[in-house]
Amino acid sequence: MRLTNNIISKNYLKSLNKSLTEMNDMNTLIAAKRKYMRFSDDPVSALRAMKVRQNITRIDVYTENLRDADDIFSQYESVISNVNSIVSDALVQVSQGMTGTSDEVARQTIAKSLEAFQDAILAAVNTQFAGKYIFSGDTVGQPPFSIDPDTGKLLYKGDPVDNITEFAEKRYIDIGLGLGVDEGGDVLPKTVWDIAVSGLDLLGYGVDEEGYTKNLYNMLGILAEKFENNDMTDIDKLYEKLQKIADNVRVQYVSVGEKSEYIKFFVDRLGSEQYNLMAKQTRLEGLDLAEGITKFANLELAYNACLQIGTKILQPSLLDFLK
Amino acid sequence: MRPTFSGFEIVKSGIQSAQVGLDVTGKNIASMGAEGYSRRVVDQKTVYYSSSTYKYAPVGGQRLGQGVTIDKIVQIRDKFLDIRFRAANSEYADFAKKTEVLESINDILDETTNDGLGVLIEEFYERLQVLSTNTGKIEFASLVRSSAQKITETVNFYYGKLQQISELEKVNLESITILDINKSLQEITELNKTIQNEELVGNVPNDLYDARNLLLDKLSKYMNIEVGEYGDDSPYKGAVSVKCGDTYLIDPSSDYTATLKMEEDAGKVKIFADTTELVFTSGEIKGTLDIINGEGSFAGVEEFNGIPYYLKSLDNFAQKFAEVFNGLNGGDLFVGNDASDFAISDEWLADANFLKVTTEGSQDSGKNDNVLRMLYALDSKQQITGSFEGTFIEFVVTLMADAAIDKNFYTDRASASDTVLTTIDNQRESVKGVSLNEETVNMIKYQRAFEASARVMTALDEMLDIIINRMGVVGR
Repeated sequence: MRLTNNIISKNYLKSLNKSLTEMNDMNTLIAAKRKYMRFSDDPVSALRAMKVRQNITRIDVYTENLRDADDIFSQYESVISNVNSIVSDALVQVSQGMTGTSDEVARQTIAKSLEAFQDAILAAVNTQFAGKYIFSGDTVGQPPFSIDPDTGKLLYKGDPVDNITEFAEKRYIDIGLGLGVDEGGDVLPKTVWDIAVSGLDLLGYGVDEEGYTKNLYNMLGILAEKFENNDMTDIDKLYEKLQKIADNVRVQYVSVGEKSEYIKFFVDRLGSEQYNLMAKQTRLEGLDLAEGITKFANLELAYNACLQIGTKILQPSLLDFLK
Repeated sequence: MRPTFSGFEIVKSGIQSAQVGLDVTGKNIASMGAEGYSRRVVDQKTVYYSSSTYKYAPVGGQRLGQGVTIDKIVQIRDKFLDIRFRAANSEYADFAKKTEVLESINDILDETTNDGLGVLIEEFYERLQVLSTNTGKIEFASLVRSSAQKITETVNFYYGKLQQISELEKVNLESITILDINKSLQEITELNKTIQNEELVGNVPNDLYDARNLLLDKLSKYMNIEVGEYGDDSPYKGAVSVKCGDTYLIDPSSDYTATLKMEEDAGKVKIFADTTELVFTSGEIKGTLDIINGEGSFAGVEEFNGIPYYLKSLDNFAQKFAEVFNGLNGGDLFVGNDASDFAISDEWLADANFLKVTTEGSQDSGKNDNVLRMLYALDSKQQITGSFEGTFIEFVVTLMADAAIDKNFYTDRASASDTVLTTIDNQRESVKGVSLNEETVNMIKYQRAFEASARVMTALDEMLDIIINRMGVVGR
């Protein structure tokens, strides 16, 4: 091929420009510690990184939801332990009052303290945490318990607790189990996690086969009335019932503890998942600095060589050697 | 018999042609940097004469001829390479244009290092999640609302920006490209006429050829052209015709020069040569039209993913987003017909709690079933366009990926066709370009030829001197 000076200078300029561009691009990548700056530079990696990035934020969301739940469960635990100690105290008081040595005055005192316990329990189950009535099952926006002014009995969302035979209240949160909704628009329970805790479970509801209330508050009310009136009929039986109720409170204590454990397990699992995802993200997007700087040094070398050759290749022609 | 002064004439022609040769060398060196210049060479021919027409012509082996003459000064150019160069030039220009505009589209949609619509939908999702554990609280509800507002504003922003690109390309096409083409066509027609006249009187207007070729090269960047020439016996010899597809832009045989104009018909931009619509297969105009008109998968036939594709996608996104969430809410959260007026409703704007958190009973009961439904809707597959079924985020990422993959593809193609173009350009330059070494050799050659001819002249002169002054003077 016939080579002209214009071809040489045109090609030279093109190579020089290419070399400088590559060096500049590499410099940008190193400054950003990234493998690519634009989606179009590496669509496959970018698309995968996009997905990984979304998964990471999802894990943040689920972890945050679990932490919220954990805070609530800690609050449950402290409330339940509070109720538990009230029940223990109540049992002690009742057993003291049952003995023949107690006189009417002492029983009056016991009645007063049982009533005080009732108030304490009502306050405990109507506890608000972060603006939520945590024992209100699925309707945490409203106080769950109130007292019927006529009977002095406990009402759960307006219904006498003794009349409640069954209830199922669910309050779901999404913790990344793949939230699903059925065709009717109802959330599929298996795909979410139920964090509803009802005061009914804690305090008991309905009546047993003998017609006695299974509810702590109402039972304390009955006992207080008995002591008030110094009426010791059936007191043994009532004491037994109260013990049963106390057992139930302890069972609740344990079951909330289990839920807390589950949260810790799940948060740990999400944590390690997040760690893996972040490692993957770094692999997809992050630039190994050693590699980047080595590449840059190579490009710099090429550019310098290009410049140096330029002074030699562009200058001479036969013209320069004429005397 | 040899005429006495014939040698002088022969040598004179040698001296003159050496001078012309040196002039041409000078012209070549002087013009070597000029765009479109093709080198000239002197076409020297020896002069021969026939013994039958010359009275004193030598006969037999003595015949020598009459020195040299400059037949013409020709330019060195390979017409086939011109055709290949123009084809490669328009192909490259098409891809380069697409790459350039796709880069701007990517700048808008790309979320690799910026936050965009995808991140905002994710933020909306996160805030709904937070609301699901904090239902009934207005501050969390208003966080959701502000996120939704950001989504609508970003969709409006994308739409506006994309439309702006399209408008700018239209303006560029109408007020720069087309004007330039019309000017070039006029100039070529003028040159055609001048060249025809020059050739008629037997001149070889090399500089005008160069000028015309340069204009044709420029035209080839804009569109696919076909250049026709006329044979020696044609009355239009010297002129060229220019065709784009099947349509003549310049037709010397009917003295026609087209005027291009842009028209918009049902949202599609078209280019007409007077009354005929032009069909482009390559060139910058093809790239621009694909960008302005390409509806991608929305078109019945296969089309480029141009700006209308992205605009329609955004419209579909806005409509589906509004449809899904308005449906779940039972009252309009979002209003608007398409991406340009997509907004959150006045009701929601007035009251953050307009977003229904539950479908069962009072909104402040703390139930969150509807929020979960919204989260599910956000994360489940929706038929967003006729050909796309997936989540909203997937849709946004797909749009982003469409632009990025196209950009990647056309960058590669532009760079490949640039290599082809460079190779052909180098080949062409290798034929028509000026080589300093060659010219220096020519310079020495002509200088030496001049010197030698002058020496012969001196020798002849001295020989005559002998004949005239010294011959026959013996014994004087």
